Amino acid sequence: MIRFQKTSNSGFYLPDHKLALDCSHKEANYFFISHAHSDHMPQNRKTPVYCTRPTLKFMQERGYKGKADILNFFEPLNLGSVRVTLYPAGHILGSSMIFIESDEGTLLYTGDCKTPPSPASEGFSLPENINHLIIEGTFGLPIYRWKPMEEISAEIRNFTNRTLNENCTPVFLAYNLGKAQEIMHLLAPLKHAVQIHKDGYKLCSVYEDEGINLGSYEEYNAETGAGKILITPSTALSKGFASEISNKKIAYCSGWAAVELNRNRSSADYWITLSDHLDFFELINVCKQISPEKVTITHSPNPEVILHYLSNLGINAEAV
Amino acid sequence: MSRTATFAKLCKTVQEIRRYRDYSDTVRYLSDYFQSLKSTEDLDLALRFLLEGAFPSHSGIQTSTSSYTISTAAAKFCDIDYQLVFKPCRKAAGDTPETIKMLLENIEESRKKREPQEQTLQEIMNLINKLNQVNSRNDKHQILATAWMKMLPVEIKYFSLLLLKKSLLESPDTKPVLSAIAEAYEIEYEKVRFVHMATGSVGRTAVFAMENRLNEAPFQLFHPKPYMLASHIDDFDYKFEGSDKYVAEPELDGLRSQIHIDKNSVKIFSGKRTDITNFFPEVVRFFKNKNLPPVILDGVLCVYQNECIHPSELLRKRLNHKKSESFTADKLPVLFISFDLLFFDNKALFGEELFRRRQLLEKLANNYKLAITKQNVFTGQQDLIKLFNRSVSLGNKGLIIKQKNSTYEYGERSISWMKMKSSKSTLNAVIMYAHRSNHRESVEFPEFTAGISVKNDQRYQEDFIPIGKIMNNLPDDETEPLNKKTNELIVERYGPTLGLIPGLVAEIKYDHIQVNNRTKAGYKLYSPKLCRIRWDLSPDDASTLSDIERMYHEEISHSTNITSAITGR
Ligand SMILES: [Zn+2]
Ligand SMILES: [Zn+2]
Repeated sequence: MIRFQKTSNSGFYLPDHKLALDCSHKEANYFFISHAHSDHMPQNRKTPVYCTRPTLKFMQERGYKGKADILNFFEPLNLGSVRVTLYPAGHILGSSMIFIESDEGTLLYTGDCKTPPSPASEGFSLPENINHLIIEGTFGLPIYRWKPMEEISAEIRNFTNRTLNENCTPVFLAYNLGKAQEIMHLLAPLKHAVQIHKDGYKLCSVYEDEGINLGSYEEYNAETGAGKILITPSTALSKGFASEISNKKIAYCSGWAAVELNRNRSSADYWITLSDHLDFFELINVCKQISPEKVTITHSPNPEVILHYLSNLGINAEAV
Repeated sequence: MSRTATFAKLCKTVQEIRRYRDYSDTVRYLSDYFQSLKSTEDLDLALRFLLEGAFPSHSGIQTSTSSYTISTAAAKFCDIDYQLVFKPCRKAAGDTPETIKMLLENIEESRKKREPQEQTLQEIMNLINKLNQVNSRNDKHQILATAWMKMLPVEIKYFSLLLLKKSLLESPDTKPVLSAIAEAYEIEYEKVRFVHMATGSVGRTAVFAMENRLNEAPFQLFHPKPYMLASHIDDFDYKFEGSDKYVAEPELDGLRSQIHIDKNSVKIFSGKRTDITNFFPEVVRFFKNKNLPPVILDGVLCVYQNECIHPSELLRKRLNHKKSESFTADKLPVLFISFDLLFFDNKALFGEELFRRRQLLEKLANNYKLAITKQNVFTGQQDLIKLFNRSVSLGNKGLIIKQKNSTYEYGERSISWMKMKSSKSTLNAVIMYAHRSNHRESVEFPEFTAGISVKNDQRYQEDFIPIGKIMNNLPDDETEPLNKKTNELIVERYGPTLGLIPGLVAEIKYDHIQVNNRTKAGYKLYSPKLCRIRWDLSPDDASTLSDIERMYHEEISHSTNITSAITGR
């Protein structure tokens, strides 16, 4: 088994190979970044990293200044004592799971992942022969079970059509990277103009470069936004985004929307349970399918429940 | 199948209403639903489920299935561990019915067992009765499991809610329901509202409306009437135009209640209009002996001893006793003090002006030796403040200022009655959690969980424990530094709930302290408000649980000099 240490943010450090996964460890020689969400990006903007091409482009848009080596999915990289291969994680575009093979065995670090994968990602696929799986358990309770993507996308389109028919402006609350573009991709068949918050706008061309259709879109403009589909992170909304637009209906898109309690706390007009993480049942399935010698659960507010299920399946697991 | 109303349809209607929380949508959904009902029995039952719960609230009957029984039944049904799986799920989902719904919807074992069939409202009621007839947890588990097999997740959720003594609509507000009745049967709203007040029952009102017989609806004694409520005035500079148009009454520390009397029959209803007659045998005896003609009195139940009114918290305790006999041991002498007369001489007095109702009340009090509140006149602002200060110094909670020519605006928080309150108590609390919102116009953290210190308290392991949730109603310039500091202190994140490192101390005002065994502290603050952040204080300066205990005991040992408050007897 490859030795590992949990580091302060989302990441892990493999001391025997001086490999840092989603973190900036001072003794590391190699830094791998699973995806471009801020809790996974290097804290030092100049750290040289290995990542996928979309991840690098997103990071550069978000202020990364370092020198990066681009890795393609499924193409192994030899680093002396280890071989590292990236596998698509299905979380957002460019998101990867990092697979490490060494003499002590193999390790798969999923970063943030989702299966079935986001339609605006490169998909989800697993390597063979995983000895140790480090997987995220953000939604690690059986109250979380996502509907099939077709149903969710129909819900998103119905909400949009209904709102536009009522002469209202639909506003989607979604993160700038990932969720925003996923919604745009799902709405593209409607062929209705989209305006997106400036921070999300910058990231859209990366999706198009990778062949993902985002429909026709432009940066948000208070004067012309009414009647278009608007997409913004919720933080921008509380700072006045779309405040000029009088008739609007706000849809909150998140995995947390599955819980009525959370919906009651938000005062959006509509809630769509759309997550970019895998649900509890997929999490258990992935572990069962891989059946590794050991599972490490990370990012989970309720790891005990996952551990209980895994132990019933005879899988050796721990939470960090 | 349109033979009778299905429970599923009612549940889906409720789900939509809870989802959108919009007044006009609520009216529309309800009105559509009422129109789909064909029988008066279904209409009556649907309204009971919506507003009162499984049993009529004035019936005094309650469901006997506990949250623990329902939860363990659900765990069994899903074949999951109650402690290890169900409980963390409930913690995340927030409430039992929603947790049960999600688990029974998601987990394979339960999906395989369920084969939904359309349940009628009456069938649901039969199930609730059946559950009430058995005592053992095992029997209840069996009935629940068999029932759930035939239900949709949404039915299971609201069925559980009814069993947990709740009504399907979250708000007890009858207004949207009465509006929906008016809309469904094309009747003027005020007419529906009046019949509701007269009959005391939304169900009966709806049935009269459905049968187009509103004019025949009788005025019914022994059905609780909606109360007229006072509005609050926070600022003492409020100008009363022409003070001769007003009278001031002391606000007594008591339980607002309504007493219906007809000679030997006496019924007492609480502020929430539930029947609390059995909790006050001495009050019932008092009125029975008077042999009064049919009347409805509005007033307060007070603890009265040695010419003093004692804190009503003691009475609230009495209402918490499960068996109505056990409290008689508390030996608290209770007195009902009237301040309004709603029915007299076979006539409803709601449309009469206050001074007229008062005349009749004084006459009645005089003839039958009843206690009524003192009324004071005042000549202007200065005089009113003097009156207020005197009243408060004698131990009253404040003053209610009433317009002499106002009618009894039942079911309304009216500006014809205005409440001047004495200043509240304060404490310094540590902010333990911040609750985020996704609201467009709202502040970043609309709510916080406040905590008190138990650092030196042997009974607790932790340093701080929650004492209640507080709304952030600070002005923008104070909210900004608060948000900044809150963001710096975040250590853990559970969806919109954020755990904070203790570092913020808030000054909190509250009305009073209540004993509440469901909280970690054992106490709860009643209507807490955030006044300001004490940037000058550190968590070490926070109030402690012993402070709360001391304040509670001070509160409950406080008393009011009676001569300031009542006349008569
Ligand atoms: Zn991520
Ligand atoms: Zn993450």
